[in-house]
Amino acid sequence: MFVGGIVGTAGRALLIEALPESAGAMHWPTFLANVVGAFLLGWYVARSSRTTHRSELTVPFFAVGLLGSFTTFSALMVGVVESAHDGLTLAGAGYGLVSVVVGLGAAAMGMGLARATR
Amino acid sequence: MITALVAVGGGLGALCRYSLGGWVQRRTGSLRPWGTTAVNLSGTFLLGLFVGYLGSHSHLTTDLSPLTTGFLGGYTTFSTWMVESLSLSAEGGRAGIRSGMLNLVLPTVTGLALAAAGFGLGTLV
Repeated sequence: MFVGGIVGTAGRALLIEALPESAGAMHWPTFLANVVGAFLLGWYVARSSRTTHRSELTVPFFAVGLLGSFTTFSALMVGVVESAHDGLTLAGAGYGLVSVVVGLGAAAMGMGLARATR
Repeated sequence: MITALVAVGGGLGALCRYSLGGWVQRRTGSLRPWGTTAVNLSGTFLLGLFVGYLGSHSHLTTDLSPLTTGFLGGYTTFSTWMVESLSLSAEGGRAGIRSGMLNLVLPTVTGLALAAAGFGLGTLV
């Protein structure tokens, strides 16, 4: 779980380094990490709930550690508040709303894909 | 070097999420994911505090990203929040949809309030 958290957080940190931090109120690194992580966790959970021999190690490593730490709730919330502080209240609210709606869609797609490919 | 520290911070955050979240979940004995909620809300308040403090003290040169991006980013989680909300909705009927929606709306509203409170407090101190 510790190692998974290290890998997931390193992945998020690399996204922050690779992409411009934000365009207006849109925080692309956080947004991308959250959407991709939600998709992968949806896929993983739906797949492993039908697997009888779920690995003892992949749940703490992949689900709790890696994907849990790759994605972040706090940066999303604080990002919205920062935008409001900078006078971009509406755009910040849009960023928050789009993150949750697209994140839900991504998690649902991941679950659907896992069910369809079994 | 700093990226390595950020990553280790995230690993520690994941361990804290698991132990604190699990403890809260057992204490409530509920089907609702209170553990994830408690972790996400506490981490959001703390991140707001640090970001507010750093933003209003621009002379500070200490890089706190192992604590903010690393520990608090890894401590809180978006993916688990999404998947747990979907799982609640899938439990069937209107009650399921309602608890799934509640699990989205309540943490969002409370999270924004706590982020703003932390941010404001960080600006003041």
